[in-house]
Amino acid sequence: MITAERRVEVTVLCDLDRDNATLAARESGLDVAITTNLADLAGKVDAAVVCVPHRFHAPVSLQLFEMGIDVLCEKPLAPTVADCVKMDEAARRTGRVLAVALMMRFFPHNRWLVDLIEEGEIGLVREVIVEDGAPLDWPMAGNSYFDRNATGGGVLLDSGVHLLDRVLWLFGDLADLAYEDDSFGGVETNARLSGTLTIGGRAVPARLEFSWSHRLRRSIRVVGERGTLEAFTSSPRTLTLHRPTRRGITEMQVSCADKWDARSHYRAQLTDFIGAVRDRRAPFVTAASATRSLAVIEAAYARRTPMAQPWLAWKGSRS
Amino acid sequence: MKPTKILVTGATGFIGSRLCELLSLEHRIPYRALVRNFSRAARIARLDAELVAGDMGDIESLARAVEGCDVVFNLAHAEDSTAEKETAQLIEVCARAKVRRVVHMSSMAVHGPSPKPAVLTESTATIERWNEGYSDAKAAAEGLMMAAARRGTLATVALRPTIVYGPYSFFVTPIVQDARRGVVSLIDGGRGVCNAVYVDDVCDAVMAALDRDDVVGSAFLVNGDTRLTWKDFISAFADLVEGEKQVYDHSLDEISAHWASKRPRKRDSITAAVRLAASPAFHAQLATIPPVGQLIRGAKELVSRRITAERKMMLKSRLQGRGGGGAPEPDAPPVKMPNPGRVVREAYRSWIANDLAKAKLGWAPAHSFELGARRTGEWLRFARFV
Repeated sequence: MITAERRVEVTVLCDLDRDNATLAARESGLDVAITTNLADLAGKVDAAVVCVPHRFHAPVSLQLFEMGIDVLCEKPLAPTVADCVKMDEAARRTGRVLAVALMMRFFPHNRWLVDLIEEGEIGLVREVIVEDGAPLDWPMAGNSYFDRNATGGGVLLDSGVHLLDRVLWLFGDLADLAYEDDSFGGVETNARLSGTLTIGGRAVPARLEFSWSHRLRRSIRVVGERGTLEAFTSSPRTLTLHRPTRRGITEMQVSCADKWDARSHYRAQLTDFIGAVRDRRAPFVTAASATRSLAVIEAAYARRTPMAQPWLAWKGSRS
Repeated sequence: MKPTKILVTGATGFIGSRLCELLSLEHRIPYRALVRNFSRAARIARLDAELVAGDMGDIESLARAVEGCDVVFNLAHAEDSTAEKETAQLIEVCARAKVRRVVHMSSMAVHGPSPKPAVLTESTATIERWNEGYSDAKAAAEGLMMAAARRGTLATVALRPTIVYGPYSFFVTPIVQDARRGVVSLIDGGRGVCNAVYVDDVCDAVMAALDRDDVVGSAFLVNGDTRLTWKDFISAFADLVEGEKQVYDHSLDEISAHWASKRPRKRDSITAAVRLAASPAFHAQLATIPPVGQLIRGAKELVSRRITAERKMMLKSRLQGRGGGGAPEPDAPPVKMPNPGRVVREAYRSWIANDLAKAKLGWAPAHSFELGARRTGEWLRFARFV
């Protein structure tokens, strides 16, 4: 996608593993310089996309800012709020752009969801239910994904951050946090977070559930007294409205954009980053706004309780 | 014996993952989990386990993994063609590292797809080459392990579990998925003998195989105590799903006629080759070779100048097998025909005795089928299957 963008010229690929970078260059049809040393980027690039493991986001980005390079950083911005703040401050001090790759923010149905709720389409909001789950099957070359020291967390931090970020961005802060997960010292593969949102001036309970072990709905569902609005991750172009009618519960699809394919949000994210770099403006997803979800995740981990897994039933566990 | 540190191979598999859970939560013994494919490691990653990258086919990675371990639980399932080599390599590195005990996970399959005795024991059942990939690979690997014990190279014990079920079991989830579609699928009335053992009982047998020295060089059948038919097994899990269900009972004749009609014909190979040649993915790959790419582009331009757009669409549609407009075949069966592997499993006629394991290992299954099914049901609810 980056190579297809005419306003961008890819000049360097950087990876600690030279073979990986060489393979990426070959697969993308790129004839570019390859380096294993971040310092080699100085003077050669204006902007970088940072896709290293989470805990290296901050040190890598900081080094890039000092070299005068703008950054589009993969999510989560960093495993700790302190690192996020450090990155944001460094970007400001050096006058660099720091955009966060939370591409679901670009989904067309996001603003429609808020607008329809505000216009009273489903009446008073009773509950917000967020689910995202599928068996994890990313190709992996090593264990860094499961090394808590390298990643800072499991499904909540890695996958949950997408939907949690959107919920906070659309509806504001989540108070009265409660959190449970299935970790026994490693990274969690199932996580449940609950709290209270304020929607239309009223307290609304919110439940968020994430899984790397099994399928969940993959949506943000807002339950109102007159219907339910649901934003499916798989369908960014539409909202699903369930409304009780004389014919029973009726399902309606609300179209939120004329055209939107599976790559449109990635294109929108890249276009926004290019615009921010060229016009020296703030990106659509700023570090400060991306830090809000990480503050919630940090607070959740701090008050973690064990999730019930009755089938585990090891000797002594039920006594 | 009390292990200092255990290496678990096959740690991301169904039994391996459960064994890791029990090692962490119940036994609290230090262990190292050998992981070939980290994409499958999420379940054990939630434990505070040491995950090390390695491959049964890579002897150096095996040697690194076994370093500092005095016990090995070998649960890795090798591909049929590589099982012997990988097992021999493991024996070699374990012997070199002076491992004190290897518990090798074999299978009831070593006795072949349809043993003759009505009640099968370690002494009545034979191990031969059955001309069946899985059975033969398991038999070969077990044979090497037992030979190593006889030679005094390595203290090995083999376990031959039966149908292992429990949370995450691939014997259970297809039944529930069928039931959710309103379908229960049986073979031959579900009359076959289901030798079911709960996964925790298999893990207990693994631990029990460490306790006594006089079991070295022996193999044990590990089965549950509840006598079941496949109908009992399938119904127990299908019944967890609410709603009406239609039972499809496939006779053995019907299944074998179905698969006989599916044997590949010469014409199928030609059709597949033409489809491959026409597929955009194949073109994209070919086009990465610069001269071939130029040739393809040239040929496409030449063809597109000579045929109409409608004709092009029609050809594409035909080549991609969409000529019928995607409508389902009128005679398509409402339920998938059981595959030959399932038939072998569910047409089984022998009951497998667990007396030797009870007597020699001091082990007994702690889970009746009712209890095991209840635990499995708890997981099915958690994982939103039911």
